[in-house]
Amino acid sequence: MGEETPKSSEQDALKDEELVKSILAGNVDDYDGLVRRYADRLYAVIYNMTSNHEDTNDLLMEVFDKAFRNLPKYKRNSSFYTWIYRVAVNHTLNYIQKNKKQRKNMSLNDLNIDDRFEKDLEDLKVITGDKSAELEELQKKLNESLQKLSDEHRTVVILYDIDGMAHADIAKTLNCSEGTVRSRLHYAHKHLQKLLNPYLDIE
Amino acid sequence: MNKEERLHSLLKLKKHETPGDAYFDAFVDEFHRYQRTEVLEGRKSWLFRWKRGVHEIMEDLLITPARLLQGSAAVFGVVLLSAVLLVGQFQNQSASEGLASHDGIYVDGTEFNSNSISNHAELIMAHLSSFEHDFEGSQYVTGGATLTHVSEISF
Repeated sequence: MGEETPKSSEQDALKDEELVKSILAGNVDDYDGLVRRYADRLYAVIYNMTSNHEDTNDLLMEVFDKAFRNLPKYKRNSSFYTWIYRVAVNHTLNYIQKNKKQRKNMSLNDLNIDDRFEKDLEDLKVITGDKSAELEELQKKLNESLQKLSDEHRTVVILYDIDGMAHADIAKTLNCSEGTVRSRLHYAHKHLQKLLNPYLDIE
Repeated sequence: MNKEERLHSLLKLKKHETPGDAYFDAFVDEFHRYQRTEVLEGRKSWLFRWKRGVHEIMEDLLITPARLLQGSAAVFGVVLLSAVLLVGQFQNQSASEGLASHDGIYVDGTEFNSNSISNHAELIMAHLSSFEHDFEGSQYVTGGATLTHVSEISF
């Protein structure tokens, strides 16, 4: 990620807990290290929940700002990433619920196509012929299908299928039981299978 | 690969939907600008800070406006129900206290207290005897009121 200043490489070498200690001791610049470290991962989870880059950018700023102001409240019984991840998920869920009406007419964004993406697609044998047209259509369909799920169902799908979290961790993040997570996931998958059937039927 | 696995792989593709390194390189500077603006906004008005404080508390508790409305309605319902029950209970209590303090029943000028079980028995006996005594065209008194009964039946 870009050109590194001596300060940022020094921050990268420190563990999260050391950075948090240092920030709380008054070295607020060290927070940049945490921002640099987790911006992309948090961006991904927020974007998958909103399917909109502008909203994601605003929400990511708010999440880092909120976490910074609430850092003294952070009890170190979980990792910093787990804590800020929960802040991000709950903040985004709240935003989605509050802005449901406006979000109905939102536009979906273009996809950043890179080599890893193409490789994964080829593994799925989805692409035939015109790649860019297929990719665009697939992205649109995927996002549309996800947006058709309820907020709760969509969130568990993102945390489990896209972010690869375990059921227990999802339950902790969303403050619900593991059984609830499994049941939401089951119904969400059934719904998605129906919506994405043409892409799943290829042999 | 079955449908479930295919779906899982398809969803994993969303991991790649990121804006690229240039965005993240500029993000820290952008974040600093955002924080400075926030500080200025915060200084401008106490209402802004107060609103944000309330908003964050609600967010921490996962309270949305809809949930707040539902919760308020539920609390209002419980308070209303309790009030109705309490008023009902209070009225029943007043009525039974009124009955307890009510004068006894008079039969042939004798007062019988209706609260006492033994008096109940006495009252019934007195009624029966006065009924027998006065059956043939005589008068008997109940609760202080005088009734006249003229019977043509003879045994």
